[in-house]
Amino acid sequence: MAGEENIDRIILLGTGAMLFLALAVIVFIIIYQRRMFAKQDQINRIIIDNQKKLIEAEIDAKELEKKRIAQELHDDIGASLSSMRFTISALNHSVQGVSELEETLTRVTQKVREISNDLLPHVLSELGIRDALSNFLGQLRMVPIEFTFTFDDGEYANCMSKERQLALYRVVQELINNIMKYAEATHVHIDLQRSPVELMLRIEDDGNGRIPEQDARKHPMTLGLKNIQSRMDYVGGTIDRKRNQLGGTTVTILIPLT
Amino acid sequence: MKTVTIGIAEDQEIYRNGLVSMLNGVDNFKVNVVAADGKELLLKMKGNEPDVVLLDYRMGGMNGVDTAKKIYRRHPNVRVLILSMYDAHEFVIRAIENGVCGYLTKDDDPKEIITAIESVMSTGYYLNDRTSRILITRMVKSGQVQPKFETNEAQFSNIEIDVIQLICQEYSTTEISKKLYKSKRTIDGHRAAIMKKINAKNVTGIVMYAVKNNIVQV
Repeated sequence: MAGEENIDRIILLGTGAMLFLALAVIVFIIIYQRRMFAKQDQINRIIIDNQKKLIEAEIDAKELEKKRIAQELHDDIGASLSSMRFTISALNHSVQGVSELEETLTRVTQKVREISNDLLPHVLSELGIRDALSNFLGQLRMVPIEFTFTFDDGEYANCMSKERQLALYRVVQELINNIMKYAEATHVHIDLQRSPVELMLRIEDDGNGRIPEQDARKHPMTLGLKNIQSRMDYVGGTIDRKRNQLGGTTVTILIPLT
Repeated sequence: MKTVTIGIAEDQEIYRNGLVSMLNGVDNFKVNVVAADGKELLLKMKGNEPDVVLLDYRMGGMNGVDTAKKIYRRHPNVRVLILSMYDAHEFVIRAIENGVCGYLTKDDDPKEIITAIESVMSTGYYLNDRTSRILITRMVKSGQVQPKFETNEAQFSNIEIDVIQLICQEYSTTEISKKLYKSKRTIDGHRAAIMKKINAKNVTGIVMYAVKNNIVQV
């Protein structure tokens, strides 16, 4: 009898020990997995961070190069061309060819300024995002779409860094280009407002309401969308697209001021 | 004739030299202050105040408009003209808002600079066709100028009305010709005919007339 009791106890103890061991293994696995997940998470974060830094560096480098060329064109070549005007103006205009020379000079100067302005919008670098946007929209007069805007008053020139303003400007350019190419809109309204902490820009169109991401496969504009996304990442802002009651699209952009 | 003294702030040396030599070549003009940016100009203006100052918009140290603001406060008798490569409206508006008496671009005929200085000396300001059109459009848009309802005294053809409306929207002759599918020469002809009908001397006259007679809807 005592022997049987002993065996029972051993079995019980053994089972207990096995259960304990199994539990320990399970606990270990869970802890191990959690750690693995945490590590993976950390790695992912580092990868995303690195990608973001890479994108930032790329945008910075691109814009810096554009700025350099724009200034060279504007300051150096532009100034030289303008100074040629003094020489030509002193020439006798009855001499054959002088007027033609003057006309050519005007054309070349304008072209140089256009190129320089495309690379880095002068209005943006000197006067800030609000004036730059109103200037950009003013240039779209020849387009069969009606553009209207309400820009709230207030200080915009120095509301945030020039890099952020430029990123926002490029995003708006890209969005308006997309509207002109694909949205079949007749009217676009742009709204710009700022709070003490962030800037809100809303673009509302009455077009066909296609949300670009949803049929990105059908349309070759993924590059533009990628550009928009990387610039939004760059400034830490958000972009949201929705269908509006006009059947078109409303894009809302929020960008923190710092 | 009293000598007009002139101050210049311009960061591009090649352009600055051309400007100085042209102005010094004018009979009663004398350039007495030359600087590469706004800060240097303000420093050199102490005790040597010119009658008129020509400022570039974009300059290394202090830009044209910031300099104009300071001049307006410290030297209220000095008249400021902006002479810039930039021709966007926003620049003209910001400059005028900050007490500038006139805005010229470096694309304009250099002789216009002389006219502008003379005009600023005699009337206190200088507005050419471009700047007045920008300012009038701005005033009409913001409701500071109200178009009056009157019957048209002059009779215009449909195409002339189109041309007037496009002029008021600040289209250039080339742009108008593209939009109306006519040659540039034809548009010039229409413009001349319009000016003759309303007895206007320049584009500003057309804009003013259009605004007054409600030819443009704003």
